[in-house]
Order: sequence, then C-alpha cells, then structure tokens
Amino acid sequence: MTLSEHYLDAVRGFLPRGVPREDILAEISEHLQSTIEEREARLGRRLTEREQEEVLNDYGSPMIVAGRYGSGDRRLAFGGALIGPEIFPLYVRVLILNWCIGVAIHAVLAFALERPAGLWPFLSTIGCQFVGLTVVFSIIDRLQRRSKQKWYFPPAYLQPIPRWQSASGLLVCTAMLAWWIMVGFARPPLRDAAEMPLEFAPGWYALYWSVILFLAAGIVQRAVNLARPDWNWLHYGVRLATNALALVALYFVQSQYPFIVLTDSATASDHTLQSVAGLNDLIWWALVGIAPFYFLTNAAINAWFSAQHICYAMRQRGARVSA
Amino acid sequence: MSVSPEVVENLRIELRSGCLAVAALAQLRVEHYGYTLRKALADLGLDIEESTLYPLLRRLESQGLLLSQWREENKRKKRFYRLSKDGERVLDELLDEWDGINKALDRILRRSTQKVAQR
Repeated sequence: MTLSEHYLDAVRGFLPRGVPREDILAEISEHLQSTIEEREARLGRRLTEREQEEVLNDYGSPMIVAGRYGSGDRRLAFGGALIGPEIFPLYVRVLILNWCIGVAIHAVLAFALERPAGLWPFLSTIGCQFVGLTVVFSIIDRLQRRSKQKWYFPPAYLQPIPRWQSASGLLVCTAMLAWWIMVGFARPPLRDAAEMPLEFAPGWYALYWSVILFLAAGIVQRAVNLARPDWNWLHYGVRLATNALALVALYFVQSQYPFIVLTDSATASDHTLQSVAGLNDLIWWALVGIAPFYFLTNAAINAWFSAQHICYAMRQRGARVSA
Repeated sequence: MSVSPEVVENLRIELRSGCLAVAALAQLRVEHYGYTLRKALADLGLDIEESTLYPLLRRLESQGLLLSQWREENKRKKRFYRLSKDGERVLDELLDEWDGINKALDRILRRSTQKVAQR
C-alpha cells in the first residue's frame, strides 16, 4: 500500500453516508498525484516518502477533509460551537452506535434478570453517553483546530516511538523483572494471612527462565527505542515475537493447574480449600478465555504493522536500486 | 478585554467563504480541473485550501451552477469543471451584488476615516 493509498483509506473511513465516495476519492487522488508530480518535476527526482507525507499533511487531516463533504453547517453549539461541522457526522454516528449498544445491554439484562428495566436507568445511560461523548468530541474538535500536525493517521512505519512510551514501558518491565527474580530466589508467600496462606505452585518455576527472557526482551527493546525512537520496526517486531511466543507459553501455563496452593494445606478447613480451588478456576478461565484473545489480538496488530514495515523497507530498497 | 484569535479566525472564514464561491465561479468561465483551478486562483492572489475547494465545487455543481466531466488528460483521468448556463446568470447577479457591497463599503470606510481625522 502506498502512502497516498493509506491516506485515501483514512479519508474513506470518515466520509459521510450518501456521498459518492469513489468519485470523491478519485478526485482527491488525482489532486495528490498532480501535486507530487509537480514537486518531482521541480526537484528533478522522485519524492521520498517523508516528502510525500508533507504533501498529504498539507492536504489536511483525513477527518477534517472527509467532514467537509458532509451536510453543510450541521454542528453542535451551546452559545459557542462545541463540535464543528467537520467531525459532527462522526460524532452522530458514534453516539447512535453507543446508544444502540446501551439499549441492547439494558434489554439483555432485563431478560437475564427476568424483570423489566425501569425507564430511569435507561435514560441515565443515554444521558451519560451523550454528555461523555460530547465532551470527548469537543476536546477532539479543539485539538484538531489548534494542532499543527494536521494528519494524525500516518502509517506506523513513519512514526517514531514516543520516548514517554518507551520510558514508562522500561520502568514497568524492570519492576516486573526485579519482582520475578526475587520470587525465584526467595520464593515468598503470595499471601501471608493466617487463615489462608498462599504461594505459587511449583509448576510456575518451570517457566521461570522463559518469563525472565520475555521481560528482558521487553526491557532491551524499550531501552533501544528510548535512545533511537526512529527504530520503530524494533518495537513492532519484538511485540510480534513476544505476543506470538506468549500464546505458545500459555498452553504450557494452563497445564500447570493448580496455579496457587496453600502453604500448609494439612490444617486448612474445607471452606479454605474450596476458596483456593475457586481462585485456581478463576485463573484458569482467565488464562484460557481472556489471555489468548489478548495475545492473539496484539500479535495480529503487530504482524500487520510489521508487514507494513517490511513493505516499506522493500520499497526503499527498490528506490535505491533504481536510483 | 482582548479579542480571541478564534473570533478573528471565524470572522475571516465568514468573510472569505462567499468570496471563494464567486471567485471559483468566475474562474470557471474557462474550463479547469481542480488542481489547475486552485493554481490559477493562487496565481491571482487568492489562496484556497484543497480540502475546501473540492467540497465547494461539488456543492456548486449540485446547485446546478457548474457542470463537470471526467476526462483523460496526460494518461490520467481528471474531473473538469465549467460554468453552466444557470451559473453564468447567477454569477452576473452575484457580481452585481459584489459591486454594490464594494461601493458601499468604500463609502463607509471613506466617511468613517474622515470623521476620525476631524476629531
């Protein structure tokens, strides 16, 4: 996918309903092409992707560009304009979607609890969603108008990794690694209370070095990106690898049931044993029902970004060879 | 109390929006596609954002003031716009209106300048 195609895709996503989308996109595409060709003719060479990005930035944010094809002057205003006509159609779409989800949840709850939902909870949900989304969209509207960065959907391969993101990730991973190393050496109890003293089951320690490896990879990646934010491919590559490997590791983790055990089960009451079994079941369901979905989604997202990086690198290589 | 830049910007946008439509209609007495129209207007001193120009052209076309046609030029398909018969008539009316506003504004400015000078 070329940079212009990325941009047109972003515009397409925001175009209001009922407009001739392909016609509009063809016209914008033609304009972008003409602008790029004119600049290339002036410079006597092909534009780099960074220079192409400038052309797209000059054209405007996809949201604003698409919003201008909307129905004229529809906006939300209480005295001053809260949400301008450019993002008003998107605001309406999101609000309606939220309302529909809210109504569906109320209907399901009423059905599940076998009692009719009152009008008040329904109205309060609708009202809260209206206020919440209006505040969020009015902030977006203001930021859009004040921001110098007009196009905020550049593809991942052109965006450096923000330093705050690397720094905060580095702190979290280091703290987790320190804790995990301490767990391995000292094997402290998870819970020291007299009525239910808990500790990790021995099965966890089989994964000790794997977890250290995962965390160490995360620390190295974040430290490198802190120094070199432009090495954005490293971020997506490492995330892809760790999330894919975490999926494999999950298979072994869930087979280590039980995950937590009582430090001294001989004197435990039936109630305590039941509570520990319940906790283990909860962990097992989280590992089987939630964690795979999380890692799979993350792996898929990072695979998508990594593929874009690879295509970008191949294009750059092709451009160098032809030059 | 100082006037916020947002208020000034909104007034500027209001002032420009009508003028841009008249300018586009006048320039489209000769056929153009979007890119060359924007360049022609910029060369004559009227800069207009691309993302404003194209929706404006579509609006004027939907109002029957412009005609458009996709045609191939230099091996690329381009959408050419030109003034319709109705557009010509409306443009004449708008230019008369513009002329009247311009003259009135000129008189207002001259008179207010004289009064300030007399104080």
